[in-house]
Amino acid sequence: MKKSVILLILVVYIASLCIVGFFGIKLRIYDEVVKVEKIECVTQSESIIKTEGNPDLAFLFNDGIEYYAGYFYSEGLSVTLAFSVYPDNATNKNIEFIADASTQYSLRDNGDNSITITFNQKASIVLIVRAEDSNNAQTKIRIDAV
Amino acid sequence: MKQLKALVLMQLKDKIDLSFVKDKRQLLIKTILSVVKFAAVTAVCYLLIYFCQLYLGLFYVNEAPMVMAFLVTLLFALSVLSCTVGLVQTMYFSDDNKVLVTFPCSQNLVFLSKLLVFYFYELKKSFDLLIPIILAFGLFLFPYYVGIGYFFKLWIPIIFYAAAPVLIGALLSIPAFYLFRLFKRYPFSGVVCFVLVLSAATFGIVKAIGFIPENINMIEMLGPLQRAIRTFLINFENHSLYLTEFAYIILGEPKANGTYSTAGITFAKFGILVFIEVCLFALVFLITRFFFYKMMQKSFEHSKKQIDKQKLNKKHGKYSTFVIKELRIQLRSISEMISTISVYIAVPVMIFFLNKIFSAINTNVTGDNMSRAFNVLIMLLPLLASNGVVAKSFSIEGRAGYIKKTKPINLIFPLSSKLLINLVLSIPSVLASVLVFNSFNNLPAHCVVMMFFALLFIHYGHMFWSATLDIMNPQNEQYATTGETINNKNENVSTLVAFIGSMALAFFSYILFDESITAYQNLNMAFIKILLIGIAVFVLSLLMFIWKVKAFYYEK
Repeated sequence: MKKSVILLILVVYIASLCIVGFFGIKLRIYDEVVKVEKIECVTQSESIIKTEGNPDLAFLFNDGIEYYAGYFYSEGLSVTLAFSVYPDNATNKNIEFIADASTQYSLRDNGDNSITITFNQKASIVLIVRAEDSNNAQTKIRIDAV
Repeated sequence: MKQLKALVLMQLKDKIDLSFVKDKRQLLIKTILSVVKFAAVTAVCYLLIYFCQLYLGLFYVNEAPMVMAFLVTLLFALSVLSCTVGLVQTMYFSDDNKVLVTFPCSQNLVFLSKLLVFYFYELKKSFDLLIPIILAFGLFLFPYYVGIGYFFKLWIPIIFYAAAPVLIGALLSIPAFYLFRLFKRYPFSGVVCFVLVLSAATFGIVKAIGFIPENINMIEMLGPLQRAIRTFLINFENHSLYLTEFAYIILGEPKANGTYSTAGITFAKFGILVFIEVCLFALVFLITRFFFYKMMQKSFEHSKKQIDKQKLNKKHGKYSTFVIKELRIQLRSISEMISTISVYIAVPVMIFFLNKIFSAINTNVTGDNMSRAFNVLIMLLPLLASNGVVAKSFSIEGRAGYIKKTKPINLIFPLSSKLLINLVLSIPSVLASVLVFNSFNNLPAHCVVMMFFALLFIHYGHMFWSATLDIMNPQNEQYATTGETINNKNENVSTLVAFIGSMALAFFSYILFDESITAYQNLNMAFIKILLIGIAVFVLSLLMFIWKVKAFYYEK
């Protein structure tokens, strides 16, 4: 094949990419607001089980639309739980943590979609994790310190 | 000097068809057509530059000289490559060397005549692309950045520019000759080289595919692309080892107000260019000429091998004889075999790369139809363009081609056996391309089958049509003297029809896909119609081939 023919084929090849890339893309809403649809706890249960002589157990169970997780710990420990929001291109990815105030534990929002719970004694906490945008996506977690 | 002129004109006659000069009417027509072609190419180049700068914003107006410098340097590199390959063929392996060796003139004149012929041919080739590009940039930059003098002063540097790749090619022709001879003597080394290059290319492609982002949005990428082009142009100028200075010899030096004009340093640069070319010429005269006669003689003196071992003449069937003969002819020339196979391997790889990028673009329905249509185009275009070889396959036999008429067998068979390798090799290529396309599009099995047969029939149809073209317009005499020809009309027509046909079918496919999706919510009807077009093209071409062979070879 002649050099000019090969060059022309390459030009057509690149032109086809450009034409589809410019004229065939899906329209996207300008400044579209993408709401959070799901919040998931990404901390693995194994990473927060403490096995200092105690046969700790951890299990997960689902109940309808809410998500419960039961983690059992030795008392006097801190546990940090990290969360991911979906979809990845959500406009406002901030989440808030809601729990009953108690002297049995303290909560610290780390600001990077994770929370540290410090248990002072044997206690149980039900933590609601909710998206700040108005989609009301939320998840509920229960942690028992035993 | 008279001897040199005679040698140059004699060899130039074989490379460039100058028969129109004697006929005034032909001369006028040829001149007008050449001027129109030159103007059209310049206009296309100008429009491309205008579109890239104004609409795509790929570079600023004041960066146009850098783009021109890059393109001129790129063309220079490609010219050096093609000159090296061309000079090896012309100087050491050309059939007319056997005659030139016997001429009553000095060795230096024969050597100089070869270089001059190639130089004139390079000068003629520069009117095809290089000069239109330089003129287009001049038109783009006129009148704010360059003056009217640009269009008058560019011709003298180009005369010297055309000589540089020829001289460098002449120097590189010595190691290239040894490489060619190695491949000729030991064909296996050529195969090994080809496998290595293919492996490297495959590795490169796999690596390149890894760089494709998961989500491509060309409009959003335009900004980073503009910055990347700018950075590339600046880095290229800084690291190009002054190769870009040739563009500035034509443009002139930049002034504070951004315009370009000829200054003292421009003349100095031009003087350096002339000096470098004089040095190159001296090197070529001292080194290459010394080897020229020795290697030229070696290339044909020992071309016939002594047959030490006697072999029994094996009798083959009357049909298998022609198939075996064509296989042997094809396999004898490793370079031709490699160029044939390369096309068939490249097409599925190109389709894979294309669809990988398309899948990263978030396309709408129009985009999906366009991507399917472009897949049809990219699958067909290289395959049909490669049929240019078929359009010269009968003429390339030279005067031996006339023996065809003496064969005591229906001529359809020996003539079509020449196409057998292309017919067979294209099947796995088209199949692989269609399967790769389907892996990204998930079409139903019957659509894949219809697409495969449609593309195959169109390819076969174009192949038979190209063969018919060569049978009806034989160019045997052109190949009889030099063993090669530069401008085969049949090859050009076949390639032109390949381009027009592929684009027409791709456009038609886009309309069919759109209609089929709108009316039936599937692509079945579109593929049925494309298959019918393929069958029609193949049947008509095959019938025309048979009828023309009967009309041309059998007199009643």
